[in-house]
Parts: sequence; C-alpha cells; structure tokens
Amino acid sequence: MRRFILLFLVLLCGTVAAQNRTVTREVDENGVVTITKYIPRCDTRHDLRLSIGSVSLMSMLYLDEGWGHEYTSISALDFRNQIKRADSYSSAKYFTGVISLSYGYNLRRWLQLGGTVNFAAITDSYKDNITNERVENHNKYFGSIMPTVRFIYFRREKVQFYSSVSLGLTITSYEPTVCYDATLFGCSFGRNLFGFAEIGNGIGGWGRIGIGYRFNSKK
Amino acid sequence: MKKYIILALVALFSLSSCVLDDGTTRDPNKANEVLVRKVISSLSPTLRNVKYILYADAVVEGRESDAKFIKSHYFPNATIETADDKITITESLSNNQSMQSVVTTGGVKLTEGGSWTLEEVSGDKTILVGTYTGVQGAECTFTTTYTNGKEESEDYSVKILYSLVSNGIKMKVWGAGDMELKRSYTMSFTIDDNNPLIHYYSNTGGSRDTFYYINYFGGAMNIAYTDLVDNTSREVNILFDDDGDHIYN
Repeated sequence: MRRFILLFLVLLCGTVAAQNRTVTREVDENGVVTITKYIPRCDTRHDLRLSIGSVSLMSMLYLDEGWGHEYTSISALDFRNQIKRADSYSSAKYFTGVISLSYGYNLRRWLQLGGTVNFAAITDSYKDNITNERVENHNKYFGSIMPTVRFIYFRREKVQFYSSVSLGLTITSYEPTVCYDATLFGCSFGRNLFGFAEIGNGIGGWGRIGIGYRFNSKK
Repeated sequence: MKKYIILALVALFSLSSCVLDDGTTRDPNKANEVLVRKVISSLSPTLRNVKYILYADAVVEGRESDAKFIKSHYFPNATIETADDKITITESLSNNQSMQSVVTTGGVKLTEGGSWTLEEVSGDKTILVGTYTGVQGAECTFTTTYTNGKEESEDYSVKILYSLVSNGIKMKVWGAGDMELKRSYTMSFTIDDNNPLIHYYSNTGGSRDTFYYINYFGGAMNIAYTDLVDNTSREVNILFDDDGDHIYN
C-alpha cells in the first residue's frame, strides 16, 4: 500500500512540472498586443490502457468470500475433520492484482466512452504434511466486463486529469453479479505512449497504475 | 517522458502477485499431535477423578493427614458429607452452580475387596464416572464408560499405581481404551505394559482443576485411528520423556 501512495505522489509532482504554458502575450513594433491561448487539439481518437490494481473489498468478496472467511480454525472443526486438516498445510496465498484492459474513444475533449475488462485471481493450495505434494487447489478467479465513461477535466499536451465510472457484470464460479468501478482521481502523463495512476473504488482496486497508448485509426 | 513510462512499468510488475497470507507451517507430526491430544484430553480427567477415591479411602481408613492433604490440594472449599455407604463432596462452580461427586462405598472398604463407584451429580443429572477397586500402593483398577446416549462413546479401563507426593498425586498408569463416534471414526489406545505412563496430578488449589497436558513424564502409548467415512487407518507410537516432552515413533 505504501508503494502505491509513494508512486502516486511522485507521478503527481512530475505531471505538474510537465505542464506547458497555455497563454502567450506578444507586442509588435506597432504596440499591438497579441495574446495567444494554446488549446491542445484532441487529435487522437483511441485510447488503449493496461493496468494493474490493488486489492479491494469488492475483489476480495468475489475471490476470498470476505478475506479469510473460508478459513476455519482447526480447533473449530469436529475431531475427524481436525485429523484431515492436520494432514496438510496451506501454502502462501497470492493475489495477482486486478489486471485491467480498457479502451476509450474520445467523443469530446472532455468525454471518453469505452469499456473495461478486468481479471484477478488468488492462488492457494494445500500440501501434504508428510510428502509435501500438493493435494488440493483453492485457486479462485473472477472476470468482469463493464462499459466505461471517462471525464477529462484537465487536458494538456502531456498531462491529463480525469475521473471515470463503470458498471457491468462480474463472472465468478457463482452466478454473474453486477459490479462497479469508479476512478475518483486519475492522472496520465505522456503523449501517445503514456503512463497513468489512479485512485478509485470498486472492482478495479483502490489504487491502479498502468500504461496506455493513444492513436488514430488508419484511413 | 520515458522515465515516467519505465517507472510505471517497474511499479506494474513489482506490485503484482502480492502475498495475502503466509499460510501455515509444514508439520509432519501435526495429525499425530491431534490424536495424542484427543486421548490425553479424555484420559487425564479420568485419572484425576481418582482424587475423590483417594480422599474417600483415606476417610474410611482413618488416615486423617492424607485426607486433609488431598482436600487442601484439590477441593479446599468443598463441603463433605459422610454416610455409612457413601461420601459426598460438593464443590462450587464458577457459574454459581455446584457439582457433587459421590463416592458410593456400599459400606465395604477397598482393603476388604470393595468395589466403589464414582458419580457426578449436577442439577438433576447423574453421571456414572467409573468404578474403582484396589488399594493405594498396589495396582488399582479404574474403569470408566462414557456415552452421551447418542453417537459418541468412550470406554476404557486403566490400572493405576498411585502415591501421594509433596505436590500432589503421582500415578503410574497402564491400560487401554476405545473411543467411537458412530459413522465417523473409532480410536483405541494401549499403554505399554512395560512402560507405563507417569502422570503427576498437581494442583495449586481452586475448586476445579485445570487440564495440564504436559504432566506426563514417562511412558509409551500406541494409538490406532480409523476414519469410518474414508475407510483409512493410521497408527502412532508416542514416547513421553522425563521433561514432559514427547516424540513419535
């Protein structure tokens, strides 16, 4: 968690420093003042992003049934199941992070429409106490697909600030359920090839970072 | 700009696959430990019920100092009622209730071949804890049968050679027992005849004793377990040492 916060702060400072001046003022020999305001053109239509997100309550609800909920203390089991549980031990539990792939189309300079696909998994297994061989897998996965609306409220040549909201379906081993994701504050830096960092809420995790590419379709 | 991209890529990979839980430690003897604890948790209370028999025996035989020693160590606040054929020991429980341990002697001393019974009376429930024959200093037999009337039962017979020592009761224990939970498992234990369990039952006082798992300082025991659902069996031999530790064979 600390790594996410530190990284986000570093990127934020860098993006502020990377801003171009947007207004120029020139006076010619005749005393005519010319004020030029630079407005970056929205000359790329397509936006493709790959990111990884941190753990969130929602992702844990889908993967771990509430973070450790499935794990019952051995002492709480009946004797026969205590013996069975004692025959094995659990390996470390790894979380892949929420891997997201999203596409956005710039309808306006401030509005982007698109979609996002997420994937996350927890890998976990039980191994035999005597032979150390794997006896049981407890891997869990989920995938989600959501349309996304992104609002860009600060756009410069190399920096953008934005927020977004997504609503869709999550597919797990159970029935599909409705899920949501929101980027409360996002910052991208770069022109065509860019990096970005976000703070959000929902299935994507509370903190996300990634890279993206902006392009136009070939005519 | 490239610096930012590279930074993002490094962060992307370094932040993936985080460890949510370290898991548990591998322990090849974990299942054996569960078996041993099950047997000990059933056997030890049985052995400790001997205190009531010892007390009653001391009272019946007129050994006042022994009776005083046992009462002060194991049930100092209990009230005692003595009759010709039984001795009732009433102890207060922590939940403001009381429990009676009734030793029925039938008016026959153990030295005269008597067979005594020990019952626990709590409220309107009376449980026969076991029957007892023999005398202090000789091998005495203590047989106990427990069933909850439904699915679970325990049945074992142990011989105890006991003596009063400075910090309580020292016992040498031989015998065997069976435990069963219907449609789940069966388990049996056998104490090595040539290597009896050495059990110290000491207590600092209080109305109820505490289960001391480590108070076995010698002896060997075999435990056999059968899972009735999976139809699998296992067996473990355990050896207690002088320090109260144990190893598995």
